[in-house]
Amino acid sequence: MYIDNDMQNFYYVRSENTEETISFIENEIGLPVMSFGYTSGPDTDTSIILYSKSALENIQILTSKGENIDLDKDYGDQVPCLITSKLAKRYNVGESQEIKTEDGEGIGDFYICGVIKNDCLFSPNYGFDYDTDCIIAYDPNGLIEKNANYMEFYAINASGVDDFSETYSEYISSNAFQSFEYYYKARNELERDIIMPYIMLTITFIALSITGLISYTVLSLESAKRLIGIQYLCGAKLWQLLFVFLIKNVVICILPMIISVPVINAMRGSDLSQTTLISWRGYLVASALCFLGLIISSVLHMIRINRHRVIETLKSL
Amino acid sequence: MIELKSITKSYYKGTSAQIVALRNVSLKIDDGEMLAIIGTSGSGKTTLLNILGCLDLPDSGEYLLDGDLVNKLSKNRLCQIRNERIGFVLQDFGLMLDRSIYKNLSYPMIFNSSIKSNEIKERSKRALEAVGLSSRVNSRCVELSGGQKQRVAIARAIVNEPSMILADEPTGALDTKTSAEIMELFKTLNKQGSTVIIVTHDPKVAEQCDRVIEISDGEIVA
Repeated sequence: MYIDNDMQNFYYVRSENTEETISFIENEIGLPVMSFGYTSGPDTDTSIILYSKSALENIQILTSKGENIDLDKDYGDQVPCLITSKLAKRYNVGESQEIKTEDGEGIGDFYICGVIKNDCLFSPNYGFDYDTDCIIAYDPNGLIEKNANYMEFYAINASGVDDFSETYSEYISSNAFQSFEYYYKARNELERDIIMPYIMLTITFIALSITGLISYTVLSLESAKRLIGIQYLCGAKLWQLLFVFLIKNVVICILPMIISVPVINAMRGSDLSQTTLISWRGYLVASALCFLGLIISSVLHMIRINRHRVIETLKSL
Repeated sequence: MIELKSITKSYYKGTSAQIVALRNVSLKIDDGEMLAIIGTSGSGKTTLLNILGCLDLPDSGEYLLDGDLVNKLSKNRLCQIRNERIGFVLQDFGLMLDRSIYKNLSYPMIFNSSIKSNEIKERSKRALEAVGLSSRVNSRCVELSGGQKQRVAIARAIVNEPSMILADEPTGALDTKTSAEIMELFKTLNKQGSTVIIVTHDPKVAEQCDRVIEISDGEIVA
């Protein structure tokens, strides 16, 4: 999901006279300008975004593996970078890699610092976005070959300026500064429309599972009434009977859980996993809810059986 | 020794359907006695048996079982007494018919913490020998005749070597010949030292016991 980096304070800088605008922003307004350079990556699907120092300082990028780019570290002749999940299958974290284009042209020597969490990264075109084929690099020494496709974009983080939108309203209305809020909202709505069906499906499956478990528990206890009565007659305590019953049913429930683990693991590599709903945490929560339903329904029904005098159930069956 | 002092028991207390099942029942049963409790349907004999078997507690009065005041015991302790000191035999046998004889005999033993799992088979064999069914240990109960099922029920009742055997109409579902065989079995167990208490409406069964008490309308009349 999106990281809330105060998107309403981010503005895309669009101007015909970029140098003058940047000078104005830095000297008059007093804000650092975040610059982003786009260039082609090792294949047609992969792009490299060069983040400036101010970009990396203003935008929080989370990593799922490895570490973030250290702005104070000297990486020598290598360009430190963060990669997305698809590229993580090709390149190893903590290693140096010479990355070339499809035609074999060298782009540069990269040091893979880490993997971007959930492939969520900032794009100056539309704010935060998911991209599985992307490299975010920090190249203060200009080591990366900038080919013919290279483009630069600029953005600012206006959170340090009070009443920015009022003070510089003319620049906003003339589109020199474009708010990301619109893109952010539009993206959120799109994501919600994509994710919501999966959320509803998940809730439906969990509800069906819990209902099924409760029904199975009640029916199975009802059918075991005679056995419960006989064992009670033979001196079993009710908590012992409940314990034996629960253990048997927990084993029955654990079997499908175990079978589903490799299935979920296989799904994690698919596009479906991008929704982050197929995660171990979600799986454990769903399992815990099902077990809770199983235990509560078992205890309540056993109490109900006990209330109707266990021994009478034996004589009536 | 078993002693009941002024036992009273009612059901559905406080409602219009209240039933007084036992009224001021006092009774002493010596160790090793074979007692018959006779009465018509609804006279309170099953309620008396339930109280003797620690399945139910009296509303008032005292029940002393080998010196223990049963009224004051916890539910867990009552379960333990039922497991270790009492064996039950029911009219409809009280068996899991789709399971094997061995499985049915194991129920009292698996809940007895003093019996190890490797003793269960040995004890089952001894109990079946005592009732004359040693060759059928792996048979399913559904394959047995009525008399054989009741023998299995008796074997289950004695597998923990209890001091008291309670039988609720044990011959009610059996023919005359089989009933006689079952009664002989009870007499044998009684001779071996167990206290046997049989609830019955059949006078022929009752007259085979050392003592007969008659219960009517919740009171002992004879």
